Amino acid sequence: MGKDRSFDLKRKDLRMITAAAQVILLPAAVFMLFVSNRSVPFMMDDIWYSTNLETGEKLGSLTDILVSQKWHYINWGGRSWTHGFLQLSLMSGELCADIINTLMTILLVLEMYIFAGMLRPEKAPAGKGKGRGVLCGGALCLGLLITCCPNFMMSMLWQAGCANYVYSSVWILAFMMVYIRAVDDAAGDLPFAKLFIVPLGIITGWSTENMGPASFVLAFLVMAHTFHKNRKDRRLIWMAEGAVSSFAGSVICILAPGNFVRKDESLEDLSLSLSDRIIQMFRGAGEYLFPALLVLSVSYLVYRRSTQSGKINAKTALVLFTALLSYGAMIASPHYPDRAAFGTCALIEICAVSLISGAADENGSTLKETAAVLLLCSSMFVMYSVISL
Amino acid sequence: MTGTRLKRNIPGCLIIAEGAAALAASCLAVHDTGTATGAGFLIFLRTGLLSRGAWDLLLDAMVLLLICAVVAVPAVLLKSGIRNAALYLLSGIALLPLVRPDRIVSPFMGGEVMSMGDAVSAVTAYMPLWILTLSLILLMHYGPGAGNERKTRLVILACISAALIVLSIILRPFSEIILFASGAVLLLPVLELKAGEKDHTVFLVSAVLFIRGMWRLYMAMALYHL
Repeated sequence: MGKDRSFDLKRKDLRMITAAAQVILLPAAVFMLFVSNRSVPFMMDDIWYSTNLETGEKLGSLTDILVSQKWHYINWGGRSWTHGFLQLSLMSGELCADIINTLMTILLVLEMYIFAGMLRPEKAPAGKGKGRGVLCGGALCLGLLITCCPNFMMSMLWQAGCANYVYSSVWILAFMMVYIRAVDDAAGDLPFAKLFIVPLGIITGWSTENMGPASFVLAFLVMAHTFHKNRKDRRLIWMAEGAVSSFAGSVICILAPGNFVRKDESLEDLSLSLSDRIIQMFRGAGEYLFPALLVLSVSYLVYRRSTQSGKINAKTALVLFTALLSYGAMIASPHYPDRAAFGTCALIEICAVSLISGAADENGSTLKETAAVLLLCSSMFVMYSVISL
Repeated sequence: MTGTRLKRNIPGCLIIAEGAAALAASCLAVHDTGTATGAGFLIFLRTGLLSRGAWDLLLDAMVLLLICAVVAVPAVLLKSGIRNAALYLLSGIALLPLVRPDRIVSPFMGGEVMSMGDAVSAVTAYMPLWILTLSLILLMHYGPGAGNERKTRLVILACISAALIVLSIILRPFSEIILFASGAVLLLPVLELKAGEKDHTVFLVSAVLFIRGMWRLYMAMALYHL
């Protein structure tokens, strides 16, 4: 009895220490994120997007952005939404853009935390320790997002990268969360789902060329699953609306005339052979996605050992399948830059957080807290390396 | 009965096969890197003995022996079995800083010494991977069966590895080699990974390490192949 109490006390002490470390490290990491954003000025594409793309004048109003995006859609590429937001942030100035980037990253981290919670088969006991759970989950997600980011500077700090990947991931994850939530029969209809799912679907599909279609497939699969279970389910209406709108968004994005103009005008030889494409995908798995995949595989190992059944649930499998699709879609692309793996990494990390949390809940360990502190430290080193450049 | 046993052993056999493939690829990468960076040529110039080609081959053999020793010696001492030894090799190729053969030779031949700033930068750049490795080792060894003794051992190894990182800044001629050693020490608990019935999850980890390792070796060969 006494022995048990001393063990509990040790675990309790460790929990207190890790909680204290998180309280100190998490705000410090957020501050470092802001400083990292400050240390990367507007550069490269940012300079071009700071102008009215049609006239070449400096951006001055919303009309300039609309004109620019119309020109961009016809002459350069289909990501009108993300580039529209990019131009808005550029127009607001460097300081404001850095604040927006930091806030959007925090929002993304919160979404990842909530998403990971949705994937878990059983929710953690509510009430006591919930605040600590948010703190720990947030720390884990932030640590993973930065540590496992294939190119932290160009995906999360460079303004064009941040708008294309961090901003767009915010609404892509929001769209996916609505559908993943619907997999649970117990979860009721979201208020105003019929209204917001259409714009959210369009903006999601119209975001990036790989994550948009992957989100559509996820929406379609959830809809098919719901239809299979109950053909008269009222939720099928908004599910269909969302799936159709995300599909439409993807089509608008991929078939933009600008994509073809840019391809024709490119001096690079974009016609890759099959072996080039295989090497490109090999690089994707072996370099860009490697840290996230390693964390996922080890999390699965821990989960299998800690739980009775050891099986992952359908929701997690669905998200992993979506991640696989978003990765696989890149075989069709003439170029697979490391930045493009950002969304796939985020999905993999969400599954990893869900598995680690599931394993930790199963036997009440400090595993999650310890991992969160270590990953936060690691992310701080990554940020420091950018700041010190 | 035999069929079930075989089925249970398949993941372990696959891990060993991955390890063997990675070792074979390492041979090619070591040879390409060694010859391209002129490690054998440097020894030939300094000693005047044999020929460049002979030194290149001797160096290849020495580096490969070193790799085998780094894996085999702790594996034998810890009685870890071939599967875990293969997993340790895969982890090493995927996660450790890869040291070029000329960097091994250079400190003994009076080569250029890394500046303090460069050594600190190398450590700073390595830290995220080191912490990630530490987190993964902690996670891997976590479980209902993990006793206090094992936890203590993990902490001791992490401390030794951290001390080696500090040493890499002090002993700058051997900086890269010490960083490599630091990672190798941190990865030692991989050799103690228990083989359970749910063995195929370990295979999943090994597959990720294998892809990463092969990519790194492929890149080394692509960069240095003459």
